[in-house]
Amino acid sequence: MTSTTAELETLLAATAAGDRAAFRSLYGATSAKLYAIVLRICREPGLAQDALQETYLKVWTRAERFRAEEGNPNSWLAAIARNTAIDAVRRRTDVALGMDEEGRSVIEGMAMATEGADIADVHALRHCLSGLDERQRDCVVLAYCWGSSREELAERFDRPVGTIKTWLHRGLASLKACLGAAA
Amino acid sequence: MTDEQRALAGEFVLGTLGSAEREEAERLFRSNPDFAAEVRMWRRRLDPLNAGVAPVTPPPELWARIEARMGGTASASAAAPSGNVVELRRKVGIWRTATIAVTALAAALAFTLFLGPQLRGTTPEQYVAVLDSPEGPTSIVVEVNAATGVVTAYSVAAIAPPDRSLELWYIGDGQAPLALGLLDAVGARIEIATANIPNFSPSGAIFAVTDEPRGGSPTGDPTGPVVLAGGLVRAM
Repeated sequence: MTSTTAELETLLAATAAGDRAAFRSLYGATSAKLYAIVLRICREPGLAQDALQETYLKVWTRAERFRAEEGNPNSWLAAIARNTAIDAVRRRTDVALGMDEEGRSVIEGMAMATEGADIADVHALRHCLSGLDERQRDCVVLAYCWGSSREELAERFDRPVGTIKTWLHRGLASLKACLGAAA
Repeated sequence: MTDEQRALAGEFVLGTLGSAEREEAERLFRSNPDFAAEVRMWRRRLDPLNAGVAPVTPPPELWARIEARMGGTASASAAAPSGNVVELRRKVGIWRTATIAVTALAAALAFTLFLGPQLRGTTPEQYVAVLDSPEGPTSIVVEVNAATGVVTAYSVAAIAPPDRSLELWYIGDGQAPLALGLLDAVGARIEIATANIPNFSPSGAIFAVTDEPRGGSPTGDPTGPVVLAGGLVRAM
């Protein structure tokens, strides 16, 4: 997103006050990024557009919560978009389970595209993900980027769901320890 | 916070929880500050994974779909001033009250200094609005020549902040703001025929300048704060 954090915070505050023009500006500044995030999870434009519509309606009605929940506007908006997209995918039982991308390619992509993210944060995450056990890393990245459920990961890696859960927990714990050291 | 809760916070952000665990996580997010901090940490820390995805512009009709479900229709929102517009009117109202004593004087002065020479010898109906902030000096002067039907705005001292634009708005009595153009640098000038301003009337008219993204408001309505404002007064 090309808008600064401060600009997005201003737009969110005005949106919380019911300012439609500010909300329109917020949509203009963030929709292409959020659509891409949602599209990656939904994999199908129709479903992604429904999820994006729902995302912005949530933002419109919940903008006043942003300040209370603190956080960065980009990650707050991305969290709403991801949750909405994951819900949309989970509701659809017929959605294809196949992954068309590997976790590794996302990590490589992070080195190329850093728009909207703090460079130091990108480097830290890239470094720490690279240091994870390969399967743990793939589970974390596939879940975050493609909205994979534990069941989908279990199928993909041909392991019981309990094992996937353990991988996720270990992966997250190692990641946190590494990121804490990098901070 | 327990290790289990820590794992729950991480998986909550990843999106891998089942519905029961997710409800538990949402409950903790609202009630347990440590848990909420852990969730925010993961959101921020994993956000760079979103940086690797190239933006995709959604189809243009999507905004209309969203707006249609926001409560009220798009046409209703165009007719009814937005919250920002209401706020703009309110601010202008306060400024008018605060500066009413000096406005007439400033208008006369501005007229003499900036507009007088070119108009000397004519006796048309003239109106002037001096746009200033409560603290700052006169920055923009708007002149309306009723005889020729021309509105002219000059930037005397206003300069747009870096990468921003100063947009001039006409706000007729009881009307929504109408964008007249940008005044980004000292010496900038806008000329517009009153015929091009729907229902133009000098009576009760307000001119305001808002701080907008470079190139002006993307929406057609003011989106940024009011930096200058003033009411139109009879000059001579």
